[in-house]
Amino acid sequence: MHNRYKKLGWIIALFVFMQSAAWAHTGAGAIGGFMSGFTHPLYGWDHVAAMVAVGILGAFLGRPAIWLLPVVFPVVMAFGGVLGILGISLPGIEPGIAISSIVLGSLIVLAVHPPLWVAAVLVAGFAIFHGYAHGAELPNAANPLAYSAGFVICTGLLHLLGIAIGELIRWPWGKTVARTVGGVIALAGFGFLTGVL
Amino acid sequence: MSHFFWQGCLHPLLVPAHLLVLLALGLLLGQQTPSTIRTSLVVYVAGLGSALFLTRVLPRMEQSELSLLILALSLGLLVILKLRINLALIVTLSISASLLIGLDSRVSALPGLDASKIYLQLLGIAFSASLLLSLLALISFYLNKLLAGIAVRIIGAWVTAGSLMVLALLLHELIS
Repeated sequence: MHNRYKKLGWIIALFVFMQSAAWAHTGAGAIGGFMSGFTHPLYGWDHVAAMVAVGILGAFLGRPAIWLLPVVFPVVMAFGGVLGILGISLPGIEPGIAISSIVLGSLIVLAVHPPLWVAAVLVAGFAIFHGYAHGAELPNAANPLAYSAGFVICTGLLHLLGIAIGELIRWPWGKTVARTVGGVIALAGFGFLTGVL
Repeated sequence: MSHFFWQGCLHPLLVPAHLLVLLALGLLLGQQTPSTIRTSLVVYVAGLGSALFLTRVLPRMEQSELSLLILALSLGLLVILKLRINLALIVTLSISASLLIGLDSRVSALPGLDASKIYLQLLGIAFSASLLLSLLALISFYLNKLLAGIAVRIIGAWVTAGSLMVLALLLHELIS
C-alpha cells in the first residue's frame, strides 16, 4: 500500500516538473503566491485570534449564525481589502483588529447571546479592519489571485477551527473549554492593544 | 505523445482564475437538481470543446482574467444566496464559463511543435476541466445534503471574497 502511494507521488511530481513553456500561462508564481497568502494570516496572532473567535461565536449562537457569520466575515473583509487596495486611508486599523479580539472573546467568555443582526454587524465591522490590513499588502504579491485565494482559504479554515471548538458546547466540559478559549482570545486582544503581545 | 495530453490536463489546475471559476460553477451546480446538473455539464463540455478549437483561429483574448473574475464573483454570490436558478440562467452561466476558460487556454504555437501535439494538449485541457467541474458538482451536491449546505455557502463566500479583492486590484491598475 505504502509503495503504491510512493509510486503515485512520483507520477504526480513527474507531471508537475514536465511543464514546458508552451503555455499562455506558465503557472509560475501561482503556487508560491498561494502559499504566501495561505501562511500570511498565520503570522499575525491578532488575525488568528479574531478568526477563531468568529467561528466559536457562530457555533455558540447556533443556526443560522453558525454559517452566517463565517459568510459575512470574508465577504465584508473583501470590501475592507478593496479600501486597502485603493489606498483609501482608514484610521485605527491595528487597534480595530485588537479590539475585535477583545469584543468577540468577551462575548464568548461571558456567554452573551446578542441578536443575530447585532452579531453580524459586529463581525462585519471588525472584518473591515482585517480586510484592510490584507488588502494593503495585495498589490505587492507576485500572483495576487493565488495570494488572495490562499489567505481567504486560511481564514475560512480558522473559522472552521473556531466552529469545531464552539461545537464542544454540546458537552458540559466542552462549554468550559470553549469559554476558556474565548477568555484567552479576549486577554490576547488586550495584549495586542497595549503592545504587550 | 501522451506527455502533451498530460500537460494539457494540468493546465486548469495551474491557472488560479480558471480554478476559481470551475470551483464556483461546481458549487452552484451542486445546489441544483440532478437534471439541471446533467444539462449544464453537457452544455459546458460542448462550449469548452468549441472554445478550445477556436483558440487556433481567433486572436488572443484581452482582459480575460477580468472577465473570469467577474464571472467567479457572480457565481460565488449565487452560491451564498443558495437559489434554485432557472435552467436558462444556469445554462448561460455554464456556457459563459466554458467559453471564457476555453478561449483563455491557448497553447502557443512554438517552432517545431506539431499541430497534432497542440490538439493533444487542448484535448487534455478539455478532459481535465470537464472532469474537474463534474467532480466539484458531485462533491457540492452531496455536501449540500450535510448541515443544510453550510460548507458550500462558506466556500462560496471565500470565492466571492477572493474574486472581489483581485478584481478591485485589476480595475485599480487599469484605471491608474
